[in-house]
Amino acid sequence: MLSDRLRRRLEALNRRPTSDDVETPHFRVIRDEAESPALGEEREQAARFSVVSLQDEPESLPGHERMTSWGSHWVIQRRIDQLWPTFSRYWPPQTLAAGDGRHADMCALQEVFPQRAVFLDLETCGFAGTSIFLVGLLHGSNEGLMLTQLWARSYAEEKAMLQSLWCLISSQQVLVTFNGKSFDWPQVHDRSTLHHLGRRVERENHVVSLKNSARLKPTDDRPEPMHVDLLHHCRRRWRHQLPNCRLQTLERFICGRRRVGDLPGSDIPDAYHDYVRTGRLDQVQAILHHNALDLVTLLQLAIVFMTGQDSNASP
Amino acid sequence: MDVQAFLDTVRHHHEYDGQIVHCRELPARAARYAAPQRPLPDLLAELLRRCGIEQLFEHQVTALETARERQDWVVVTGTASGKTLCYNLPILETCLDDSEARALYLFPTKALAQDQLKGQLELVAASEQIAEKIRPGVYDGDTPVAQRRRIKAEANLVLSNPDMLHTSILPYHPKWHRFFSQLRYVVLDEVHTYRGILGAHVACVLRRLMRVCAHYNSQPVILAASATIANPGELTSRLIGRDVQVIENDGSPRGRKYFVLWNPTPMDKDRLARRSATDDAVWLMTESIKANAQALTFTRTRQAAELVNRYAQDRLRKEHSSLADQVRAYRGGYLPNERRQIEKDLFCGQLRGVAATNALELGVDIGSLDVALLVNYPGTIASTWQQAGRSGRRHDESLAVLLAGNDPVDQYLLRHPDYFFAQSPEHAVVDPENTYVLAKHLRSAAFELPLEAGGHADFGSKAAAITEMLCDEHELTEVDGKTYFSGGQNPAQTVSLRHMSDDTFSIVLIQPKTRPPQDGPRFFEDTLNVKDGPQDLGVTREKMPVNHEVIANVDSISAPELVYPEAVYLHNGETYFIRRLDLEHKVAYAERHEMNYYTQAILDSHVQIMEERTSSEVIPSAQLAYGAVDVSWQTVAFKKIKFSTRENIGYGKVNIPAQNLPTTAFWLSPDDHTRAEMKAAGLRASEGICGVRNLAVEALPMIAMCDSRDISGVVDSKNLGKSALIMYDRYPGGLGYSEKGFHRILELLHLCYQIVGECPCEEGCPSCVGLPNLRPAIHSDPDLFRGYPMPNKQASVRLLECLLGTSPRSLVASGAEVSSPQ
Repeated sequence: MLSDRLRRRLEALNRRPTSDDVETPHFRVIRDEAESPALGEEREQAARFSVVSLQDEPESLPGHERMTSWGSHWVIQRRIDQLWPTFSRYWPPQTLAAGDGRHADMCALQEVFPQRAVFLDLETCGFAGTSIFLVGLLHGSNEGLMLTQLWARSYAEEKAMLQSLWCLISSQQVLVTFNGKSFDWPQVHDRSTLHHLGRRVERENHVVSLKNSARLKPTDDRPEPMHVDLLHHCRRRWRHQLPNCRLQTLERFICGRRRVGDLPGSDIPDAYHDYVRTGRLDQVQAILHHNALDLVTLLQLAIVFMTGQDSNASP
Repeated sequence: MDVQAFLDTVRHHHEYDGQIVHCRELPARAARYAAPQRPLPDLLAELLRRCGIEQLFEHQVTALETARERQDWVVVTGTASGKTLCYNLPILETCLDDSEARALYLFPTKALAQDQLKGQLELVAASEQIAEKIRPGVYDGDTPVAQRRRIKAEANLVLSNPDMLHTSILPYHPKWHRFFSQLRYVVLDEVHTYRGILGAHVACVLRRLMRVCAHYNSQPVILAASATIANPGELTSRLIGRDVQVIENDGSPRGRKYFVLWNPTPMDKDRLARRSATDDAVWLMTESIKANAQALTFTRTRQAAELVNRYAQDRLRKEHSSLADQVRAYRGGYLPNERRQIEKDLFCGQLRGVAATNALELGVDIGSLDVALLVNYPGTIASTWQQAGRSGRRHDESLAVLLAGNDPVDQYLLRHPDYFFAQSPEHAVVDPENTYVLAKHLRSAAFELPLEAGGHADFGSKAAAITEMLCDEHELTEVDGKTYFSGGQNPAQTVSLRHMSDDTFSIVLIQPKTRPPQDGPRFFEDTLNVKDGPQDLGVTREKMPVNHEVIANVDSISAPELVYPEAVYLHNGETYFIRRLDLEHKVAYAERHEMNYYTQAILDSHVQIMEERTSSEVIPSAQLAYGAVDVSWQTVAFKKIKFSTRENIGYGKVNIPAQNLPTTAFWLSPDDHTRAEMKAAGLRASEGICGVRNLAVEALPMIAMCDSRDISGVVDSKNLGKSALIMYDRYPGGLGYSEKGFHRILELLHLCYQIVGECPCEEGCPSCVGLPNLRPAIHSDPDLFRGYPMPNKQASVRLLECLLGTSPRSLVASGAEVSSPQ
């Protein structure tokens, strides 16, 4: 056994501040009148969507438990119009961008959207190598575009959550992310490798059909849809017009929205660790909301590209 | 070289005065060959033939057969005995058979990995067929990012180091899943270096490696190579946590070697005070070089290496020899490129003499040297043979000289050459359960894969408790019986394997705007002035000098001893004046000035007993206990020492904060009765304790099997209210050295008694009870610590007799038996 002395020193060594008691943020989405660039009237409409409803003291997580062959995890689902009531004004659009001169991956997206496209945004415990606890997905369904958030109620549910992700991905043809080629997608593969969930095939458009209940074995191929990383498109398009190409910058200048009271991305890992330790839900809503907002912005940016509005937007 | 002829020249030199105390001829040895039961694959046999290898040595065949049986082994054979082939044979055989098979090579230094890569590339270049199947690659901190992906995916022999495995490979194991799932062999070269603190870390890293391998369903065989130590099998099995086969049937040939024990030139008639071993080493080194031999001088400290280099160059210049430019220093802290260049120049024979620290002790291939000079006993028998082995390879005659210092053990070894040559090398101590080390690695282990309930067992009995503690600290979180890492980034990034303090200071060269006065920089009464911002330089934190250049590094523990403000820092024989030490940013600003002096840090240290964990009654006349202590020390001042004459030409104050070391210790305090008895005999107990401390600092390493630099001792009366000897481990948390001293106290005191009892001096001398009063600075010139007052020898002897409770005569007789500690 350790002596008290060593124990005290070890504890001191390992002590670091935790971010308890961060005030529960309030959510309002406002438009930025002064600074939005010209995107026409859509800007105003874009601003008017309702977000995930927030209770002051949430007693339970919305959504339901989902069983997989690797255990259970939590799922929160919401139709796009519940999330973004004015979405129907954006899609279907009156005109689509002309095929000429567009990037092949964007054309592919245009073809399958919204039925066979999936937008993905992860929340992880931090930098590369850490675990994933939230997979946010916007994807086509029988009821139209749907937000599906796969949520791990603890680190132990990551494997089940990833199993669900692969089942969901397998019916999609195009994957849309923001910086996903460098971060989100390799992260999904690495964590799946760690859990022995299938194996990566280095070939885009590798379509694999997985039934919901199918257990992904180490020797199974993982689906590899065509991947559109919007970061690269945005960089190409707005690198010279915008201060940077971070998602929230694009949200502000291209989508004409600005977040207030949002939980900053950098605070999310600690908020999650707190939740796992204490079971307190107050910050979980904030995490889910942050993720949903990222996905809405991702969707809106994709629409900007698909409808060719990006060419009008140049100052 | 013709060693006898060279020694004759030395004996006829006007400076020779009987310094050669003993000369032993280690006879040449013929090769013993063997053949494997199942022949090597044709491709491999052909490859060996092309490299001029027609037959395998006995130990190489044993290694091959043992690996074929998938049994972990450690090979312990001499320098240049073909150890590399021992592990390469089974690996090449496996990889030629299965091109998916992978092997991981771990070397203690990046240089050794580069050395190995060079060898492997040369080997496979011989055949296209082999080059297709054997794809080596170095993956370490220097590997360009562009190449990393390719090495991950393609290399089947990955050459790296434990540090890289720890920070960059294991934490990202999914990216290496193919590698880990096909991993057949792990090579641990120079495994004897993985002892003490580094060993404790490496033991944890290897446990993490085995967990990850098990996760990907592989069970690599461990192939280790060690220099000669007493317990290679024990060390390796403790490191890897599994049984190992020890292979020591060395079948390689050996040229004749002469081993000389040298007692430096006496300075007076009674032959007790002697010239510095450094001075004699400089003489021998320059003589060797002039005799067209290549010579390597090993010193115990960085500063000593610099001094030998400088003095040797001076001596050759005085003789107008152009050879002066072919002498260099080599030590830790030099930047990698400078070190690679020296290694290369040494290998090709361009350099004729190098003064080095033990940084050159490891197996970097520097070719076959003629002479190895060891200035002072290196502290361990193992290091002695390792350093001596740097001279002489398979066929040539070679010479090794151990130049004794005034330390008690040095003189003891010279008085007992038979003891020295018969002495088995040390036990290497490794503690895979070091609390602090475990705490760090359990976080990493949990980051890599959650710790399963009961799965802590891999990490020893303390692991469960530490895990719980880490959970309390919110570093880890337990969910359904498994423990997960709950932090945002790879925890290994902040954990260095080499020091408990993970930082390095850079030594930056600045160009002064104005030159200081001719006789050196101005001397400030209050050194704070220098620290706070010298007006004549304009060096401020905001405004970095335009042309600054990093010339060397120094670890943060050593920095306050080497690069305090106004220190003269030695680098390749040149002097640099340290203008400022920026502790916050870890930079020492140095100016190049040719000075006629160098500086020595004066350290002040305190030891405080924090907790007694256990006590013992084994010595009736004293209080003896073991427990936790807190050691703090700081550089409070420095001395200016003139080159060559070693005159003290001034002092200065240093104002930098103390460093702190929480560790373990044993303490020994004679009881009142003993004190009274000594007082009655006209002797002071405290002086006796001081003498015993000085003896024990050198004797404890023989018992605890550590280096004398791993431990230290103080005489202190503040803690117990009466003077006590406190001996502690110089590592945070302790490494079990003082614990061994506590458990084997009688053996330790017997050894002290034997050393002092056999010393021919009358009133104490530097060879028995005399040694520095304070802990000597570990990086300074050891020659400067002879001036302290000598504790009373009689008091020391009397105290030892009281403690041991026996008469002198019987002690000496029984002492002979304990003189060969195991």
